[in-house]
Amino acid sequence: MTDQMVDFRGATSSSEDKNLWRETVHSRARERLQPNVGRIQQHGKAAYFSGFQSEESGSWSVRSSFLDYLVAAGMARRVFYTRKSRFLVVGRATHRSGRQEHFAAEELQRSPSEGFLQRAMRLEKQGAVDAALDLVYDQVDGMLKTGRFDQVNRLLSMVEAESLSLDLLLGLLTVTLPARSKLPDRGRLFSGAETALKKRGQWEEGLLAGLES
Amino acid sequence: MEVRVHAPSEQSFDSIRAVAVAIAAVHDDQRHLGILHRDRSVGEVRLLHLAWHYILRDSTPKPCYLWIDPPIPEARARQVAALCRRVFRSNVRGIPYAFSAPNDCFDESTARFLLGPTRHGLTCASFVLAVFDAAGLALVDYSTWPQRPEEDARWQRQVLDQLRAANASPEHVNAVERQIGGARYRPEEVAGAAASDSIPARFDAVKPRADAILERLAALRLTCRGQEDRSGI
Repeated sequence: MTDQMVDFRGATSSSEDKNLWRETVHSRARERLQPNVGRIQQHGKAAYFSGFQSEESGSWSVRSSFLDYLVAAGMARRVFYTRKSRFLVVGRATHRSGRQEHFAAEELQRSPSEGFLQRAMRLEKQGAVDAALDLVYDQVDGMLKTGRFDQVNRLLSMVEAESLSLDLLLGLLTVTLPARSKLPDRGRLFSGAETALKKRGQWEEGLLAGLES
Repeated sequence: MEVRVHAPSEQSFDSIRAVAVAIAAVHDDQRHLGILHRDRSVGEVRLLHLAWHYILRDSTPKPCYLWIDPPIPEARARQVAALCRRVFRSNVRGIPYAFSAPNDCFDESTARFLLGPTRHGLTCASFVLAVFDAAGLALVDYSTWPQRPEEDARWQRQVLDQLRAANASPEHVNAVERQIGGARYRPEEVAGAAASDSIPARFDAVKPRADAILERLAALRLTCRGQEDRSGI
């Protein structure tokens, strides 16, 4: 499967706004990354994304912690890795009118599904809970929309409820609810969630109501 | 019921937990419904609503809306908010306007959310129901909803005329025409369900709350711009 732009929210800002955003991100990169990290490039088509190219190796490289910082700092909505190790940084810009616009881009990945969950957990630890949930919803819903039920089910069979926060547990259960009949291991996660939440003292009546498999 | 229905002049949208149902009057006999959701990444409360045929908006809420805090755990409310963001991202072309049932809007054969080959579209109110339903939080007990073919058909035919005037495709118009007479979930009734003590709410419990919400809208004289200008809501 080739990397593919699935969906673009359709909101584009002026070149001036994009340049401002890019300069801001780049200055943050200079502060936080190694000095030899190279320039930011903007790529065309319908999506707005930027990446860093290492001037040394000529290949795209990135510090994932920096990308997480961008999300946590509200400078990017979402970050994805692709099979070619490029990444998409979803930015936001402020128009002259003051109206904020958020760019969104989705990309299907064939990278192991466990990867995005690790990233979501890292985002959550940094306080970007909504960004973590958005990542989970985008990834899982994207897989379901393309019929990759086996892949989602494999994820559900492997994930340990005890290792997930309340929000990520509920996120996985919610996003997989519509396809529950095609996900035989979802019930395992549901049971595990109930046990884990009770053990952690996070349980309340009705917390999982409606999410049963 | 009253403690969970708020006017923004009394309690601002910033007070919502993570998600709320919002209702506005657009003119004397028409209301509009949406879902307020908090996006902590950007520190905003937005209003997700199906404004019209293929016009799905995620906008800054206007003060003409009442908001209702639904009886759901806060952690689940955060999931509804996440779902709102996902629905908006994945329906950039909008959602068609029609009278399909809001429950089970996920087509398992195509894995496509909200619409499949047997569903033709939603109204503003059934869209709200569909989102909550997709999160496992059905607001209403569908089995208790009345069929009001004469009353509802009148409104449905008006919508059909508006779809024709908006140059909706003949296929869509025909599909919607076949749906006339089906159950209608009125905006104030869905709002009343969100204001109930527990969900899914039965129709007989919803009706008095819906009436109270209409009275509150009238008393506060909260009216959004007319439905003729769908950009106004």
